[in-house]
Amino acid sequence: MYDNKQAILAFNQTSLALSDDVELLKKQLKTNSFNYVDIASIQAWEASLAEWPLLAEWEAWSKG
Amino acid sequence: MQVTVAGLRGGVGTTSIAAMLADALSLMGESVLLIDLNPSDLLRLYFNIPYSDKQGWALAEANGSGWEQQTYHVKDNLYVLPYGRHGLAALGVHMDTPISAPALWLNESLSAATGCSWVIFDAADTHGEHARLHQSSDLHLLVTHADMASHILLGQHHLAEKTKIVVNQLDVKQRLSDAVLLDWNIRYATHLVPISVRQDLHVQEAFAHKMPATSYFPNSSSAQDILSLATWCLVQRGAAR
Repeated sequence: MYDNKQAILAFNQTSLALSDDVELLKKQLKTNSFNYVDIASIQAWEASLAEWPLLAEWEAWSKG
Repeated sequence: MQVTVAGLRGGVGTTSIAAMLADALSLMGESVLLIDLNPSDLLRLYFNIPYSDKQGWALAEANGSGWEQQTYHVKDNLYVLPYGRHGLAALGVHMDTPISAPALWLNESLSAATGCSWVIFDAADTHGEHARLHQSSDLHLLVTHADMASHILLGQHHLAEKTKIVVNQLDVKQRLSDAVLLDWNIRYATHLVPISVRQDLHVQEAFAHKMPATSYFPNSSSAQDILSLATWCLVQRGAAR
């Protein structure tokens, strides 16, 4: 007979369950600090910094 | 649930957001008490209250009457407590005279004290006499435009954990607004409310009819956006519990 508990136990021993990335993701989701910004958005944001000087100046100042 | 709605700066539509949000929540079956902290006393005009009326909490403070007698029952489950500008003037109190915060504000649970699930304050700003309310509120909505001046001002502003940024009058065709909003999405992350209220003339036209757009133009883009904002607020209440 298939045992669910054993399957969960077996999964918890795998590299996926033990991965730091997965653990980190779980923690971030729990603390609501996870913010998904895709690569295309980052590229669009970088392009906008190049286009609007004040946006770029304030970005540099805020990181300084 | 106690909410303060304040503007990052003047002219960003704080009062219209407070009026529409309260109206949207009441349309969803929630009981709401909406309180105007601003001496200009405009909020009541969104709910068909005569301009000449004197009632308000500041009048109650000045003449010792209770806030209940000053509250308007504007529809089934929506109550409005104005500032009471004309009531103060009738008593000869100068408009610049600071009015102390009523004892009602100091209640640990305003919902229990007022019998309304939602108590929403239209706060003139984030400083001064009513700053304490920002601390006691469960949620603090900071209304702003997505423009360059607001971008700098927001950077100078301390964002408390419960402060959430609401973009109002968003012009979806403006590339600069889009760039600012993208920056805020990255920079302020969970502080940014995921719903923006689009620019919509219906808000002003509804106000000219003395009603919030959520009731007068329910199919308008602003009304739809505010309904989404109200739903988001309901989710915040769920998360706070």
